Amino acid sequence: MNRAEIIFPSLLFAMVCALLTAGFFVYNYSWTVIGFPLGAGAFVCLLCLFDIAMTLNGRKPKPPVSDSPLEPLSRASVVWAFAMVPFVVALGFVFGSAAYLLAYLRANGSSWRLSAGIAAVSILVTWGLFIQLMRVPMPVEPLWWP
Amino acid sequence: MFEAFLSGGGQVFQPAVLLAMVLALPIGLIVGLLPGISGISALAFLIPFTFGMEPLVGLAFLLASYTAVSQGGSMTAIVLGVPGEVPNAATVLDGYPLAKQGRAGYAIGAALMASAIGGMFGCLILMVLLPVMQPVVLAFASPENFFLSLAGIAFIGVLSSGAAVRGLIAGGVGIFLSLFGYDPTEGVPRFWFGFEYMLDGVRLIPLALGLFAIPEVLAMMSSGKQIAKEESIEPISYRQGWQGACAVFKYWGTSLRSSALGSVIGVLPGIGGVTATFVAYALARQTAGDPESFGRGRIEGVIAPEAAKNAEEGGALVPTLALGIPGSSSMALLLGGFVILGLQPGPEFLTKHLDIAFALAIICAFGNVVASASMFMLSKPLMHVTRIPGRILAPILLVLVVVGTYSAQNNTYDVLWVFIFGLLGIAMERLYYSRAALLLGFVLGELIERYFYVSLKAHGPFFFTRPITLAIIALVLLGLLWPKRRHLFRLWRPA
Repeated sequence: MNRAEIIFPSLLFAMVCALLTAGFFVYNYSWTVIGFPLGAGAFVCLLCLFDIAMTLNGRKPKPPVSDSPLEPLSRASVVWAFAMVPFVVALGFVFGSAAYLLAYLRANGSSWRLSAGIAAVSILVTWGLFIQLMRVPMPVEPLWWP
Repeated sequence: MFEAFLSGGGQVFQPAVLLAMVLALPIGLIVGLLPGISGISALAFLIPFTFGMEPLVGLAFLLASYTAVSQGGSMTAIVLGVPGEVPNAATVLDGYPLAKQGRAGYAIGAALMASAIGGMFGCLILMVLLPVMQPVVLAFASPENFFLSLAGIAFIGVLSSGAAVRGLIAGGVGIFLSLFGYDPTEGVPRFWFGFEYMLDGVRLIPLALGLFAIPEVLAMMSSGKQIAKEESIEPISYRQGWQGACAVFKYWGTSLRSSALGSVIGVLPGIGGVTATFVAYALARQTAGDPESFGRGRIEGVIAPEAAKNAEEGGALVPTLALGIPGSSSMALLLGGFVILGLQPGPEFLTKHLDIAFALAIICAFGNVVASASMFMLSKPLMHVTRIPGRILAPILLVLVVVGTYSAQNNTYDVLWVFIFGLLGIAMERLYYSRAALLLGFVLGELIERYFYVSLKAHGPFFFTRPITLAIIALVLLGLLWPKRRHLFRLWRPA
């Protein structure tokens, strides 16, 4: 049995219960306000309990037949994906994105020419297309800048 | 009326109108290719350019770009597994597995042809219904909309093959997430915990991109390989696309059913394109001989949502033009465009400017066909994208997702949420919880709550006894029980 198959529905159950409890007892939402979330939440909680019980009894659902089974995710890829956030916060959308692309591509074996070229195109797209042409008010300066 | 139709047709083929469409189509296609940027962004971007234009020229400019956006959105859904627009998420389910099998061209051809046919079907419905529309739209009040939304929920189980309980959990979580923010009856903000961003609830674009795009980006980063599997790769050619286009006629039942469903959902204000695509997908699955093969690269899984999406757009124009009621947020913006250009849609618009209304329907149909043809020309370079190594493609895609998410509402928190929902998407994908079911539940949850309370207050507790609601219930039951029809007939027949 995969532990994640118990942990995930348990987390969903806990999250829904915590939100409903806070809404009912802390924020004192009226029945009209809490009624619908209560119904939906109770439905989710019951199904989560049912799913946990099924998994514990060894009756978990069949994985769908797939021509391309999922490959395990590497820890490095997760770190790299989430590294995008600090890059954007530190350098802003335009230069943060370009710096991220440069760093990722160089770290993963691409040549300097390709990495720098893609980073330059990214500046052109974010600044030229989004900010100048489409008038998206995207911060060019670092996000921590006052 | 026939004179108005001829006059409208004649106006469309003026050089200025044609030029406006030719200028707008590439803009729509580019906007569609950017993840998170929707048709509403294309309209918002183009409306300022219409100042001073003749009304029909300006409207042709807006409508042509709008129709082209969804074609671009379906391309990224198939080639990269990233929906360009939220309704394109349904196309990911079977389009992306086809791209992984090295058959992106086949899926693209089918998507473009289905879009063109769906778009033309929607426009045909628009032309037929325009003069008689008012009583039809007004017959659909909140009880009917409530049951239509509920019908969408009924198909959640269908979207979760082999893991019905987990599909229902996903759908339930989607409904629960949709209830954050202001409650529709009393205006009290729910579950916002003093965090201003949450007053408007969970946002759709970070949710859709987080659930669908982030897991694909991470998978590409981990493997470093190209999207198309090397062992099953076919040579890149327009032939694949042509075969896909022909598949739309092979599965003509699916194409027509989905187009009709999309048009009906479009005509009703407030239901929306996401519902149309997912319900069309679920219905195609239900009516197919072997529903279990859906999700592994079935071409009907591409045809159904694409036909429904473009038909929905034509349908959404009906209440906009005939009643002045926008069928969607994009239509609300288009309505603004009408006003800027000196026209006021509504019942009076049809008596005064029926020729313009017909011209708009023709522009919509023409725009769909030309956008599909242009995209077909671009399909060959797009197919090459599936052969770029993941270690190069993944970070580019991530940047586009982040920038696209921010651009949707100009909110930095959306970018953080896309990563949070990305984690949820990864867990769901790996534990066989249907992400499509969550998205459908999210879109419909808020509608169900609002229409339920309005129905209860306006029509009393027996609101479900209205004739049209009973017909909707019967149709939904028919759709759900269709795969079991032989078994049910056997039970029914005397021994």
